[in-house]
Amino acid sequence: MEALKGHMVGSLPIKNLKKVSDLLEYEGPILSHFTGNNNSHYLFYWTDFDTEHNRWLVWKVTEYQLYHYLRGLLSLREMVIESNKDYVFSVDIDDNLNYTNVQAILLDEIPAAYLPEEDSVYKFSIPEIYKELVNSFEENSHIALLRDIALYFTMEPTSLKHGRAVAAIDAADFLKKLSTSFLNFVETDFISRFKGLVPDFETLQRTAEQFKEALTPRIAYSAYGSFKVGISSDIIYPVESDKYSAWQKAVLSEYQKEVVDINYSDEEKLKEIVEKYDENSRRKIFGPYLEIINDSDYTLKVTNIGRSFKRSYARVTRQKQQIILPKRQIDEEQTEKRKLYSVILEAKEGEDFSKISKKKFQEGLLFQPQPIDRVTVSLAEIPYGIPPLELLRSITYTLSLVDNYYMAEAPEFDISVRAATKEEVNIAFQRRFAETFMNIRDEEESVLRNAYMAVVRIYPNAAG
Amino acid sequence: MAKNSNSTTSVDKVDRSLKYQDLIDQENLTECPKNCKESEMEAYRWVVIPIDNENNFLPVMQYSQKINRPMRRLTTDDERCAGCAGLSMFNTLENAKTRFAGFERRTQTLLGYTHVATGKISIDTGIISEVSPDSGHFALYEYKTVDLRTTFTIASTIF
Repeated sequence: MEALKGHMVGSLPIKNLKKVSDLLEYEGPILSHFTGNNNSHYLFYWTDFDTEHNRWLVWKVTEYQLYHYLRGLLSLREMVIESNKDYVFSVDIDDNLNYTNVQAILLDEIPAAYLPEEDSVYKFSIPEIYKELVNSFEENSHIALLRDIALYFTMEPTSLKHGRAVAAIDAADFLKKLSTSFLNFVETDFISRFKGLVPDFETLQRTAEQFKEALTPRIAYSAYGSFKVGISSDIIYPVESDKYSAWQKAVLSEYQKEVVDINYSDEEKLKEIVEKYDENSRRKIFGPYLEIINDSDYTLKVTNIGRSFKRSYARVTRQKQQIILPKRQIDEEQTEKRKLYSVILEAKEGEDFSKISKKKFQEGLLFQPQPIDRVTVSLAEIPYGIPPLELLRSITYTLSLVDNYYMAEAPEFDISVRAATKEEVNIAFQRRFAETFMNIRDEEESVLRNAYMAVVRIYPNAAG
Repeated sequence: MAKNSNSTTSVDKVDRSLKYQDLIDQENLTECPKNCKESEMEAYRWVVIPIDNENNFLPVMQYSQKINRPMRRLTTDDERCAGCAGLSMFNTLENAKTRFAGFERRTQTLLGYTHVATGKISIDTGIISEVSPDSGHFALYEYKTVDLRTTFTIASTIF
């Protein structure tokens, strides 16, 4: 047996020990739950043996810890070393249940061989005898579901100056970045998957916004020491209709697969991300997540409940980051940030706003201009193509200003372009529209082709 | 003292008294084993190699005495019936491996098993307890002349 560096005590100082159940057993107990005086709770954990004795670590636990252990939220190791106590007991027990060699051992003097592993979570069905305990801590089944599907993020400080405690402002910043990354993924993924099925882009976007609200990350679990938080998303309550429910149920898993479970040092993997997501989407989804990973004050680990999924991260080099987030051509530090605003102005009917004076503009301003994320632009003609395209009806695209770049997006036409000015992005959009139409009109029927063919006049001698 | 076994019948010539009835009597265990019956099924058991190692098919009480190691007990009630007369088994290979995999590496090392053996249990082998619906675990109480080392074979490593 391992040598112990504990302090001998005459006997185990726990009265009226009564076994509740074996949590782990095989032809005898391995981890057993007891109660003692004053309804306190203890665990006996089998760690060693010789020819005459089995050795057990014994420590006090709370029902709350037992609940978390049974639900896979707390490992056996975490229960042993949790700092709500200074020491554990070790006791050698023989065949006749005689207790000998009872020692109190400080937590950092427990033999390494006796400490359970990092992923020593409970992996079996919850025994019937504990169902009432578990139910008493699950306020409702909704919380239980959120915990089951949550991703558990643990931030650990790289410097132990303040122990393992995380600054509140850093925790808030982490939550904000994670939420931003996830919600941008929700929006991007939803539009990408359903743009072919919902021809009306306004409807598509409105539904995406509803999903962003419904799927706003919820804190399902929190623990302190290091900052550990379980982030989940409400996958139950339908939005719009049942036709999106399969996607809704899977979106958190998809985020795990596409964003969380990535080796950001693997260049091939980064190239796959570049293939799949346009630059704007990458900045919105992966940008905040990379900022979290590269925070020099903390390391990040992610698991699921039961810890069958585990991911930790190395710092991502600048060179690798720039594969996903290319360096900007304009130095944004030296350029003032620009934003779109909605303005309500009183003016003469028929006023030519391109010529309105500054004084008239200021006098006519009725309300403080409101910042907006995007505006819909209508195009009545596309003077590009051979011959120049003639539209059967106006088409629209969404114009937004992101990081001082104009973005023009029309998912139903699979177009997303970026330029430094609104004039350039307008031209870029029209050119891309014409170019795509010229390529697609001769291809086999598809949802995308149908979208183009529905708005472009086709002449009798044109192909398709 | 209740004996939970069927006596030898002249019809089938299989001795259906339990192999460890003497120990059950010695331990003063009444109703041991309880709620058991004969069955026909594939069974799986944690073992070490070679399969005919004399300790592979001993109830834990005999096993502990054989290898000079104390039984794991924390109360006087800790499973005495299965401990002196039963053999732990699983109903599928997957259940046998899953249960072992659910233990800490330290626990796995202390237990010492390396392989899973499989064999067919018939009505002539013994009686079995109820199979746990969660883990697939059950206890087999052998009949007197049964020697599972000759009927079980190695199915897989335990990892």
